[in-house]
Amino acid sequence: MSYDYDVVVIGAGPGGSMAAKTAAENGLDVLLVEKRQEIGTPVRCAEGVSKEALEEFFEVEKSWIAKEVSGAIIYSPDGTQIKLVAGMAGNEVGFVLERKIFDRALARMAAKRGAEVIVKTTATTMRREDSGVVIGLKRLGEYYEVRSKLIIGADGVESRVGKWGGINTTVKIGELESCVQYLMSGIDFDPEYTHFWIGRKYAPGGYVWLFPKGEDVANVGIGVLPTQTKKSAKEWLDKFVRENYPEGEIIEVVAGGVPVTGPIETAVADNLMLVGDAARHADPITGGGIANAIKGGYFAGKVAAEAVKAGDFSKNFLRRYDELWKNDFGKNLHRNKVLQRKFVKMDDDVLNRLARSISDYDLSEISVKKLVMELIKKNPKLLWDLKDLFL
Amino acid sequence: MLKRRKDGSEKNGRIVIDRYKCAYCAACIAVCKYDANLLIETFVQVDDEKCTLCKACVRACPMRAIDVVEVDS
Ligand SMILES: Cc1cc2nc3c(=O)[nH]c(=O)nc-3n(C[C@H](O)[C@H](O)[C@H](O)COP(=O)(O)OP(=O)(O)OC[C@H]3O[C@@H](n4cnc5c(N)ncnc54)[C@H](O)[C@@H]3O)c2cc1C
Ligand code: SF4
Ligand code: SF4
Repeated sequence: MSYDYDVVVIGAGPGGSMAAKTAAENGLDVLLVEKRQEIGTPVRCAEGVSKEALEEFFEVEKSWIAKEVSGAIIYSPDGTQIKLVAGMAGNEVGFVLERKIFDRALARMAAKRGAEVIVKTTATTMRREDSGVVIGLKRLGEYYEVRSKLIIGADGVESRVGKWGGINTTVKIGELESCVQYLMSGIDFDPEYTHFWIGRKYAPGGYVWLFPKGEDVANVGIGVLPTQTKKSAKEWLDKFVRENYPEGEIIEVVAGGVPVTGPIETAVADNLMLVGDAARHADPITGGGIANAIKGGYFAGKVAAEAVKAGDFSKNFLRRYDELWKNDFGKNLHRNKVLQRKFVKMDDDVLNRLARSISDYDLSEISVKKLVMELIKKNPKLLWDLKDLFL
Repeated sequence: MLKRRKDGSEKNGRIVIDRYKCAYCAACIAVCKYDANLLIETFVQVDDEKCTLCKACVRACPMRAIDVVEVDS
């Protein structure tokens, strides 16, 4: 058959835009399809990302960043603090993004490199024909079809693209963090840090976060596992806010679901690759998915170019993409899934004990791995089963 | 409106979304293994034919916007 495009990317979040940008840069004919009428809104994100993750791929622009932070503070149920500070104070390590701006900037980059971008258009069907795919799109109520060699599913937590290709991406109810977040103004916190509250007291199966977006403005949100509580995420967050920031004003409400499944067996099928949340690439411990979406998008864009060059769109060829993400962040996903399973089972007393064991000094690196390594050293018996994964 | 599930048991009711509570976040879509729901911009559409009333979406919803209402047979 004749093709309209080399690759059609579904979803213009960070993963999709990065895949489209990379594919276009490598000379492919690319269509980037977004179902919303505005890319980037509504935001479903706390907007935290490491400086490293962005700088690896972009010249970071000031307008993307709401606030830089230099560390993180974790509060256990009894109020014990663990402080993670990288290097010297003033050495910024984390960004809190303005995703409404960031997501659009990425989509614009893809367009600038030659990708065609369409919004308010939903991908509704896919079928294979000859060696390509026919993708059904609904644009402003009108249905039409495009033919492509490849499809990249970057359609986020609600992904359908994987299912079209026979990859079962349904998230089990015990593997979805149910999240709500308020953008709050007029509250008092240390704006140099991101803040995390852990334990059943605050958030069964998840945590509460506060990410500064300015001196007195912050994303205050929560994720809970529906299997760990009968109350909704919103009820838990309202309780936290009532008890801790009653003076604040809620100026924006955001909700969302984060898949914490750990790595899926494969993110490819014939003619098809999955990227970002659609591939369940969010970190099972932190819930962070921006960095992996960008990286996965980059890998998928590259492999798309190789596949087009080779004229081979088979699952077998696309396994290169699986190899790339598995060898990169796949190991972290696996490790943090094991950790998450253990974390979910810990009661508040255990968390307090763990926190106290390392609360008397500051950790000089902001990473889950470093934190767990320290915890294992101080609590070898309690955490013996994590030893082989982390040390 | 009594309906039969795949396993032969009957269901009596349907999923309704309170649009005043819904924050169109798609958490409910991710957990539906029957592909019975869809998020169209700000609107969650449930296909009553496909829905088995398994209630996974009810539990996943961070805003508690989803309910099962009984339907007279
Ligand atoms: C409350 C909350 C807080 C979070 N906080 C953080 C954080 O602080 N840091 C972090 O790194 N991550 C965070 N995450 C996770 C992060 O938001 C995601 O991992 C990230 O957005 C994934 O990017 P993506 O490109 O894969 O998907 P998305 O950004 O979800 O983009 C998917 C896009 O696909 C579109 N789409 C879906 N279906 C179709 C279709 N059929 N046709 C066309 N378009 C379609 C959607 O409209 C959407 O725009 C958070 C998530 C939530 C819910
Ligand atoms: S999970 Fe709840 S808030 Fe989110 S889209 Fe579904 S009904 Fe709306
Ligand atoms: S009740 Fe179950 S089948 Fe019906 S829409 Fe919700 S998750 Fe899907």
